[in-house]
Amino acid sequence: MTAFLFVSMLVAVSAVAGLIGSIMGLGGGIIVIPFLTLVLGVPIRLALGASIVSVIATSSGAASSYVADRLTNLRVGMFLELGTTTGAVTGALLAGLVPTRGLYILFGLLLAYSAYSLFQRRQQELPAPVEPDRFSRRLQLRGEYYDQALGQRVSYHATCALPALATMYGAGIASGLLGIGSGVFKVLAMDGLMRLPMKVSTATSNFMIGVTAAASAGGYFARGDVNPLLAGPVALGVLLGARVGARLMTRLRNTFLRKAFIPILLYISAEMLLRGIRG
Amino acid sequence: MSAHTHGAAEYRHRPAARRDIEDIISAILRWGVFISAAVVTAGVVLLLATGSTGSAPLVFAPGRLLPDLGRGPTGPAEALRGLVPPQPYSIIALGLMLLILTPITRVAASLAVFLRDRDRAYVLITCLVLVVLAVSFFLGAGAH
Repeated sequence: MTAFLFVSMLVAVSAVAGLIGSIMGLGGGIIVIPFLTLVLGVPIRLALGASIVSVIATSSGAASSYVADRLTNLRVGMFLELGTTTGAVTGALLAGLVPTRGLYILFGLLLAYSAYSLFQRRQQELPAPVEPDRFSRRLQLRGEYYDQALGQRVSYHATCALPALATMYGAGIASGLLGIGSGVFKVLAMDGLMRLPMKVSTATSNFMIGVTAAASAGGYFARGDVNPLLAGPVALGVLLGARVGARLMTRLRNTFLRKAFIPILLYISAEMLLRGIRG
Repeated sequence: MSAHTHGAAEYRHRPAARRDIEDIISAILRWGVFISAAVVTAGVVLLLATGSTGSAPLVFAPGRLLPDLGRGPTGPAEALRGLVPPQPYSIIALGLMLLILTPITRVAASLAVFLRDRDRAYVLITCLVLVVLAVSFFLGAGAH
């Protein structure tokens, strides 16, 4: 193995992580972490440090396009960010005090159920018009974008703002406590509860994950967990993949995104259930 | 002209005086990514060219995938000290720190725009998010 080959391999794998992550609204940790630990034998501590950088790179790399295309709903993002950040702080405070085994099983089951509910709505291209609640109206949680796949302008209005905020708080606790990305919960809450178009859900999730990750990245740096030889090439690869992913996603159909999301959910759910059962 | 002939590009290139929050945030993200990617690339190229992290040579043992990873700077001050003479690990770390700053700058810029638009609900929400982010940053930095 030469240094050049090592760096190229990291960049290539990370580009795939960035591509998938940016399209699905996830951080890419589900690819970066197993690759670093299982294939390269990197200590988990350094893999997590590289993964947090990957989350920020996925988010920032794709978000400039999504925001310019009006796919990202900034208001929804900022509003839900309240829940995820407070939840993450709560989770970090609870870490070590709460047994995580039951939580893994609980969240594993929750994700399996979400996969089922997504499967039921797999043919739905755009959400049916909803009756917005008082909060969604007051906070103007609505938007409009031009859908390149459908060739039409799509307007939408969110509903269930408070249940979604509460879900985000729970998801934030889970990510702080279990060290899992919360992108998957963000997408589910926006798609399932707030009834936003799937594209808006993944683009807004993509936008949000960067902020949460940036807040915890300082800690990873201070502990020496961000290794330049790993995190540097990972950042470059992910940025590249996310850029391509952001161009690609605008041309995909909402139904495709939703269907592609189901296997990812099942994978994460199975992984969590296994961790919970093994203890 | 019907809506069908409009593209997403229609939202871009608006007069600068009436810039939407979306255009400001998009520009911040684009520049943040560009600058940090350039700095990280410079560090990686220097690492490959010199075959050294800056403090130790990069050695790949035969038959092993992973080299000795060494350790990078743990904070901005240490990274900046590693710039003269330029050390690959310090340059990469500095680029990564710029990447981390990008989303935080973006939240701060949203606050400025909400203030400009006198959108009180979102000024409040954004301030709360910033406070919680600061708390979480110091919790993280203090842990372990």
